[in-house]
Amino acid sequence: MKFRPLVFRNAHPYLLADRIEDLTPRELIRTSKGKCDRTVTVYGYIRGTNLRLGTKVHIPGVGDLDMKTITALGDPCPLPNADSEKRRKLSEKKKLLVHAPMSDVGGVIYDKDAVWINVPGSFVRGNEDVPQGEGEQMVMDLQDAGATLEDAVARSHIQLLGSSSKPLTVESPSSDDESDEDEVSEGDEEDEEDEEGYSTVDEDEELTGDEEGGESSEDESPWDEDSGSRHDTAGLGRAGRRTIARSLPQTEATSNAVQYADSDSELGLSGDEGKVVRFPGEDIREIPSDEDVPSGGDGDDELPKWKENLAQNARTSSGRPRRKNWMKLIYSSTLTPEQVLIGDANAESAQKNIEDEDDFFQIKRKSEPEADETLDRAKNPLRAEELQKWGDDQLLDSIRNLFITGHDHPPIHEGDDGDDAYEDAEGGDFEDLEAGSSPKEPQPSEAADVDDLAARKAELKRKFDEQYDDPEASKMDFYDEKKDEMARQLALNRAEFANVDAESRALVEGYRPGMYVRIELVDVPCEMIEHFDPHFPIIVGGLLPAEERFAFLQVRIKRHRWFTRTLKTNDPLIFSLGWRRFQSIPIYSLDDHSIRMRMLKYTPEHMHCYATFYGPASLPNTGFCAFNRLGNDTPGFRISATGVVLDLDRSVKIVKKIKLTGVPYKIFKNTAFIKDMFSSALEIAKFEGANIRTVSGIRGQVKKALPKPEGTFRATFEDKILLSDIVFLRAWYSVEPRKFYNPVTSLLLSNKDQWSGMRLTGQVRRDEGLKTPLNVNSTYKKVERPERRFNTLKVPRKLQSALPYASKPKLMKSQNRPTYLQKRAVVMEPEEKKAIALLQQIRALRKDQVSRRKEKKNERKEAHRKKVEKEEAKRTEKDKEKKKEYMRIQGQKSKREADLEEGRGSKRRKT
Amino acid sequence: MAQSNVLQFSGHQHLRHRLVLSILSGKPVKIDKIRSDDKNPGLRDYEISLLRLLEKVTNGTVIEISVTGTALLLKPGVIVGGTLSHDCPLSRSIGYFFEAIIMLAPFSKRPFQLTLRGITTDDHDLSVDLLRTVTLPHLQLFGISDGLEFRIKKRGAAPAGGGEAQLLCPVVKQVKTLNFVDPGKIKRIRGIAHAVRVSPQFSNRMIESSRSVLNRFIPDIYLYSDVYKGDESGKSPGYALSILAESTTGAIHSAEAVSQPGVAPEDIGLLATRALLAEISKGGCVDEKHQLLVLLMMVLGSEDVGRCRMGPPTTRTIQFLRDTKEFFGTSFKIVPAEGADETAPQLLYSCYGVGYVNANRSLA
Repeated sequence: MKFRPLVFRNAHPYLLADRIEDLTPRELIRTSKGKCDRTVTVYGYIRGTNLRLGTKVHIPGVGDLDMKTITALGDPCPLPNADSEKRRKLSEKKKLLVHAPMSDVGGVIYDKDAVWINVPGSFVRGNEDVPQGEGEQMVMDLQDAGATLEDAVARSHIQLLGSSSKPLTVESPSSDDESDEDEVSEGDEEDEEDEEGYSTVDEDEELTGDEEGGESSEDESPWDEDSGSRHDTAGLGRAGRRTIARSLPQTEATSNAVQYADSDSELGLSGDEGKVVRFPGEDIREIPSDEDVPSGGDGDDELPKWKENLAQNARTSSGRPRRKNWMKLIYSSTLTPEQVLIGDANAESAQKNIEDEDDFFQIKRKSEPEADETLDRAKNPLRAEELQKWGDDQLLDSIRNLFITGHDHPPIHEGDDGDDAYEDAEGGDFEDLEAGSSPKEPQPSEAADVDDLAARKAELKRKFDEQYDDPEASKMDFYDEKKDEMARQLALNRAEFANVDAESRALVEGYRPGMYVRIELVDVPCEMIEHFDPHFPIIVGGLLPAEERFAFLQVRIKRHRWFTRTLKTNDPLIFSLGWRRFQSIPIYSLDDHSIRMRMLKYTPEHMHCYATFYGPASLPNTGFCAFNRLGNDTPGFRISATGVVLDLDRSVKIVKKIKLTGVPYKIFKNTAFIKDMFSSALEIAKFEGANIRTVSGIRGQVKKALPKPEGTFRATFEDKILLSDIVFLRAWYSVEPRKFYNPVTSLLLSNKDQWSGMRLTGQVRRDEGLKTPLNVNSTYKKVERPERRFNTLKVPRKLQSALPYASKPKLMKSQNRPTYLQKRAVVMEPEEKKAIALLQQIRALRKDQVSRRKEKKNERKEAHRKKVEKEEAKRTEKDKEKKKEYMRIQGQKSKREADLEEGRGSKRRKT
Repeated sequence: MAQSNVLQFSGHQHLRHRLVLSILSGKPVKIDKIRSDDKNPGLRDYEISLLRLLEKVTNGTVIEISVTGTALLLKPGVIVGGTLSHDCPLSRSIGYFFEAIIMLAPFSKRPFQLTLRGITTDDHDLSVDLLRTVTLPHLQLFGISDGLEFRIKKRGAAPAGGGEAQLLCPVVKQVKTLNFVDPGKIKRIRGIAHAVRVSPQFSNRMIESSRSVLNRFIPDIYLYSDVYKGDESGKSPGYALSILAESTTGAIHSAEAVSQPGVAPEDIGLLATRALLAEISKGGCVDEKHQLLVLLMMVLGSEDVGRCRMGPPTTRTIQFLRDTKEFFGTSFKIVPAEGADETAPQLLYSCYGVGYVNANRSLA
């Protein structure tokens, strides 16, 4: 088997969902009677490539969906380490760690921001005989909540009117206090939790996404200060995040009480096997977010905000001269580019005001108006007066070090390794030199310089040694070279992200394969949840940006050789292409001498052809397979065709042949008037000069429309045509595939096998009881060709006599009387008779002799042939033997060699 | 489904790269308030011409311009390329158009063979000489090299134009990432001085004055005098000097100066030389004029970290970086390059490429 890398899967991120939760507010579902679009989270390990936020995903069987958030969670099934191997037993506490895809083990499920408790059977307080698990205990405890009914009513008010800000003001100080307390006692709590086996929660919370961090940074201003140092000190950052985590249950408890209060009626909705009480953590999160500026790019804006602080911290800590924070200025400030740059010019003043954005803005405004009508130009205007300074010799000398001839540095590397080393080394030097040339020469940089040089020298020495020892080894073949290149790039990537925290890393490069993530999908069709069946896997396939658009796809297709029927143009076909499965209407075509794409009515037998259909774009070289019908009831082999995508375009050029026919109604010498081909002079004008032909093969040309009967034209031919001839014009008519796209939404059905798309033509006819349309003109009839009678050619006598002899018709009667030779009688003399008889006898004797001689010769020949054959057989036998012997020896030899090779390997293994 | 996410921009500035980004990313873009407060509102003729050119090189592009010409909606199609020619208006030089086209050309369906006619050298945009000698080597950094060619067929100086240049660009599947942090040292200086419909002596005079400054630095200086005659020299008189300095690592800095009425060719030569020296003193691996191109290709590069060392961004670059984030969601990490001092601040731009694959390229 040839190894074919799975290019598609290596180029797309995807995950197999092992858990799916519906996060839609219950109330919304209730009011819409379960028909509203859902917000759903799916969980799973990322495979393929990096998954980035901002792209779309496709769930086969559901459709394209938008991701709202991606959160990296702790691995639910981590690799065993030394510690975990020590305590390998499945105690009740550890049950929570069991990873069981699409199933419910512990009764308590920890989400990113909510806790789910599944209570089997009836849920009555005080029911002591039912064994109470940990989760139930928690729920029972919640019923003892300290909140009074009044509080509950007040809170329920919040629930109904999410936009009201009043409850928030009541709540926020208390929650802040709570969180502060928690922060203080954080260490203790953590220990407790670890003992109780809650570590799942911790892990989840630790890896909470940027969104959460962002919101909290907006809500809680004191915390914002801390957040800056999150990057530097892990402990502090943890505290920050944990603040939210801890504060959640407190708020949840109250809201839960409310939900529980009116949930008695509603609980039936939430499942058959048990009752689920939800702690809608995100509802609470949403309340503060209403107050904020509603912006989609929330998460995007957050990062640079701490980056700013981060950079500031770094700046202050290092004590280096302040530099402009370009990332902040570019990505997270509202300044115009001009303002950003002018800030550059007087950087000092800008830096002072950077803390207070309003002031900053005002200062810049003064210098704004000049940038009114500036052209979009690549070259900055040359200002002669500014460039005047380059007339100064001193200035000119100051940049001498930027040229290879600049020698104002100690020439260390020259003796090293010739030119190469020189070039290699000096690049890095360049900055140091510059620093060195400035008047105030910093001492530490010199030390660093020396270290740097030593390192570089060592590297060069290593290279030299390598080359000297084994000159062959340094020459890499293509494969090694590429591998090396990839390794280098990988190392670079790793180095780039080495000291970046996980969140901002995810923001830049996406979530890497192998991570366990929670993806929040919005606007999911409700049927997916309502008809959810864990027997059918849910695959979340990431789409590349190019794949979100629609286009005409040109594919190379071949009917599968096990599929019995041919495929018909304009018959719907179900494609499985990339993540998507959809029905579309292809048009088959073949390349006609690279001149045109010619439509085919049916796919050819045992041959590739092109197909063009309308559908979602996918990259060229993506393979696909096609089905006529889905469903298990299809008899025989289901895959009807396979192929590969070749091209995407917004228009197609497929043509089919059309023959326009007409008949002559008046014939001159080589000219004829043709009718019944066109209906107007305009049409004819379009076809002037077109080639036409009669059935008998006389070629001609369309000349010009005739004025009188509309739609007739004058045509010339290479010969005189007959009135009985049919004239036809071969033309090409362009066809465009129908813009039909019908995604297969099998996961939305209650019975997943029962998806049916557009019916095939044959199916429609069968169902409707229609007959195949039959054009009487297209039926084959027996060809009747009556014998044509032509009049004899008559040449007038006068003309005949004027003709030269060669051209004269030679009309001679056939001989009907016997000739003289036939009718004469022959009487021979006796000698003559004798002579003839003798001659006859001699001839007979001779004949007999010859035949006997021939026979004998044949006999001899036969004998000889037999002898030769025998010899031949012997020789071939010998040859065969020889060959056999040779091959045997050869085989032994090669075997020995192989053995030797292996033996060497095995020997090495043994030692 | 893709139609809903129309990106909104306003203002006539930065129109060009927004259109390019829209076509590359496939996201429709709406630009309004195009000179709405101007005495002469709406799109200029060269902008209209650019839109026409973009429509020509793509298939399925829908461009809607409002009645007043102050708003514009572009729904991008696929880049097809092929053999095309276009007459540019005389209000801008053909560099304006080529700068945009060069960003698109590697990602088309068929190799580009685009001929543009108009002004070949002016004050605002890259001249054909710089496009040929500086811009194309920048594309080569990203693995676009085989069959990449720029032909200057005729020259046309500013007022009346009449020049002609052709770009041949191959199609790539994916551009490589760039890792260009070592600016190296200047090892050679090349230049082209051209003079059309004036005394050919002018170009020699420019070269003379330029050499008088540059000779002190380096011996490897070749300044060519490129004289076009007759029909190839366009319709107006003019001359210019374009010089570039190449470093040991292949970093190219360039500058040019174009003839002005009443200025001696010596002064033009001197101006160009000084501009080059100013550019060299700014340092970095990529000069100011090509920041956009390099950054764009870095964004489009394979899914790896691309790094490049450059001077501080220009206003165009800043806006471009912001727009790139809108279109591709990629933001750059911009940190001061190590070792750069205050007089010539250099920044290290690094980003994680989006792994842009040329979906237009056909296999058949």
